[in-house]
Amino acid sequence: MEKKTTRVYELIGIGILGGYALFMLIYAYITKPDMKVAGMGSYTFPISAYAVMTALCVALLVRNLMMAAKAKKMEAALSVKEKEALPEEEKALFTFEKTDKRVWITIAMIIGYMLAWKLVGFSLATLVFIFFEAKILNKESKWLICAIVALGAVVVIYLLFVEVFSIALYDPLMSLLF
Amino acid sequence: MTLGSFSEILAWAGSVVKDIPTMAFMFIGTLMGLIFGSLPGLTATMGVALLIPLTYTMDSVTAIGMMLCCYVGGIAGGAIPAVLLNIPGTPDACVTTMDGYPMAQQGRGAKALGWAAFSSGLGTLFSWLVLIFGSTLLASVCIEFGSPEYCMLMLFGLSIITAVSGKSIMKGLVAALLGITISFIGIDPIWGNVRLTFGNMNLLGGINLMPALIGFYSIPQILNGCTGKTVKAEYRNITLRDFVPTLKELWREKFTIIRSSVIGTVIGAIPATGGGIAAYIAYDQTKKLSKDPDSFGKGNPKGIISAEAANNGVCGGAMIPLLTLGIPGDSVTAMMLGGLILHGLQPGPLLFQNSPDVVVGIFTTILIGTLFMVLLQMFGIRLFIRILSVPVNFLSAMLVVLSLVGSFALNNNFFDVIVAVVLGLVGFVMTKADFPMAPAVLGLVLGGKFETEFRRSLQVSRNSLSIFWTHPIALAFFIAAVVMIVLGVVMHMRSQKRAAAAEQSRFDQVFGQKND
Repeated sequence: MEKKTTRVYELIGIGILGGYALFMLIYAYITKPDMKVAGMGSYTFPISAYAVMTALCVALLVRNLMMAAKAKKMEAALSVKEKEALPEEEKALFTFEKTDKRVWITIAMIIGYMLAWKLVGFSLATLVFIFFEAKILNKESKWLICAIVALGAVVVIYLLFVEVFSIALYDPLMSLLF
Repeated sequence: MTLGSFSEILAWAGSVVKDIPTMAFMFIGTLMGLIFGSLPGLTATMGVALLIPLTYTMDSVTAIGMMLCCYVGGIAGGAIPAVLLNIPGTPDACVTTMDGYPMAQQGRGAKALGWAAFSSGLGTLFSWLVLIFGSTLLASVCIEFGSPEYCMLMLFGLSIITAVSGKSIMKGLVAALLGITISFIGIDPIWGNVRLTFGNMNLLGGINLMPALIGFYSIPQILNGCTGKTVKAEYRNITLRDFVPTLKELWREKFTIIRSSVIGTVIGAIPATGGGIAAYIAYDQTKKLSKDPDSFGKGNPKGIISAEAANNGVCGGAMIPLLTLGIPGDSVTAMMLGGLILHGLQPGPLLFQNSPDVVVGIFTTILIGTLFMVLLQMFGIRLFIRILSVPVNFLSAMLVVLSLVGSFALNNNFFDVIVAVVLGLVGFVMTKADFPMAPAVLGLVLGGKFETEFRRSLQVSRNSLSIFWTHPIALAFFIAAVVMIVLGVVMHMRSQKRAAAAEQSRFDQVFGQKND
C-alpha cells in the first residue's frame, strides 16, 4: 500500500493527466478534419491514445479511492496511542507529509523568473532570481555572498552562452556592456 | 572497400598521433563535448554544429577528428549530471539516472561515474572495431530497413515500458501515453494536417525533445532537492581507486558490456534511431537477464554499464552508414556529413578508395577521442564530484537558470522555456505521485516515429497488416517485442508478488500484534 502523501499526489496527478487526456480527446474529436483518406487518418492514433489514457486514468482513480478506503478502515481500527506507537513506515500510510513551503516558493519564483526574463531581459531577471532564490532556500546565507554568486553566475552564463555559443538571449542590459 | 596495406594504415594512423596540433584540437574537442554533454540543454549536435565554422581552415582529418571527439565526449558527458544530480545532460543519458543517482546517494558516486566513463569508452571501442572490420556487412543489412522494419523497431523500443515502469505498470503506461500524445502535436507527417496545436504557431513543429526532457527530469529534481534533503553523500579524499573499476570487476561485467555495446552499435548503424533507444533496449535486456532484477533502479552498476556502453556504442555505429553509404544516421552525423563535404570529401564507397588516408585518420581519431574522454573523466573526477559540495541553495538556483537557458538555446525560442516549465510542474506532481518519468521520455522519443512508420507501412501495403510479417526483419522485431512485453509483465508480476508478500508479513507483525 502506498503512503498517504503519495496517494494524495496520485489523485492530483490523475486529475491533471486524466483531465489533459479527456480534454485533448474532445478537442481532437472536434477539430478532426472531415475528409476521407486512403489508409489511416491524421487523428486515428491521437484519438485512440487519448481514449486509452483516459481509461487508464479512470482505472487508476478507482484503485486510488479503493486504497484510500482501505487505509481509512485500517486507521479507524487503531487508537491514537497505537497510531503513535507505529513504526515510521507504517505511520506514513495514514499521515500526510506536507511539502516544504520553500518548494512552493521556488515554483512561484521559477514562474516569476520566466516572466521577468521576457519583460526585463535575461541578466536582470537572472540576477534577481539567483539572489533571492539562494536567500530563500537558506536564510543563513549572507546577503553579500548571495549577491556575489548571483553576479558571478550571470556574467559566466552570459559570456558562455551569448559570447561563446552565440545564443541570442534577450538582454538589453548586458548588450550595453559587451 | 580496401584501405591499403597494413604498413600504410599504420603510417597514416601514426601521422595523426604524431601531429601535436591535431592531438591538441582533438583534446579540445573532447573537452568541449564533455562540457556540452554535462550541461542540460546543450547537446553533442550543438557542439558539432558550433565546431563546423571553427574548423574551416583545418585539414580534413583534424577537422573531422575534432568533431568526432566532441561527439564521443558529448554522449559520454551526459552521464555526469545524470549520476550526480539525477538530471540527464543529454537525452541519451536518461537511463543512466535510474541507477547512477541512487549509487551517488549511497555514497558511490565516484564508482558510478567510473563505470559510466569506462562503459562509455568500451562501448565506443567496440563500435570502433565494428566500424573498421564489419562496416560493409552491417551497412548492407541496415540499408534494407524500410517503414515496416522501422515501425517494428520502434514497437520493440516501446515494449521496454514495462521494464522502466517501476512499481506500477499502469502508471508507467499513463506516463508513456503522456509522452506519446505529446509527440503527436504538430503537423501530421503523412497528410500534412495541423494537429492539436490550438492555432499556436509555435506548436506547428511539435514539442521539442530537449525542453520536454528538461521539464520531465531537471525541474522536478531541482524542486525535490532544493530543500537540501536529498544530498547526503560525503565526498572527500576521492582517489582514482574509487573511480576506476578493477580488472576483476570489468571481467565480471564482460557480458553486460559486450551485449550493450552490440546493441548500441547495431542501433547506431540503423539511420534515424539514436543513443536513447539503444540505452533503453540495453538496460531492458540486462535487467531481464539479471539474477536480481529487483535491484535495478536502486543503484545496480549494471544499469549504468548497459546504458552507457549502448549509448556510446552508437557513436561508431552511426559512422557506419555515413562513411560507407553517405547516409547520416542522426543529427550529429548529419552535421558530420556537412563537415566532410565542406572539406571536399564525399562519404560513400568511393571515400575508402579515393581517400584511404582520411578514412584511417577518422578511425584513429575516434580511438583517440575515446581515450581522451576516459582520461579527462578520470582526472576530472575530483572537479565533477565537487558539484555535490556546492551549497544546495546556490546549486538549485543555478540549475534552474541553466535548465531554462538550455531549453531556450536549442531554437532561440522562448516558447521552449514555457514548455520546459509547464512540463516541469507536471513532472513534479508525477514524481510526487510515483509516476515513472522514463516511460514518458521513451514515449516522446518513439511515439511519433512509430505512428509515422506504421501509417507509411499501411500506405505501402494498401492497408494490409501482412506487410509486418512478410518482411523478415520486421517480423523478428515484432516477435522480440511480444516476447519482451510478456517477459516484462511476468517479471513485474513476480516482483509485485514478492513485494506484496513482504508488505503483508510486515503488516501482520505491526497490526497483527494489536489483534492478538
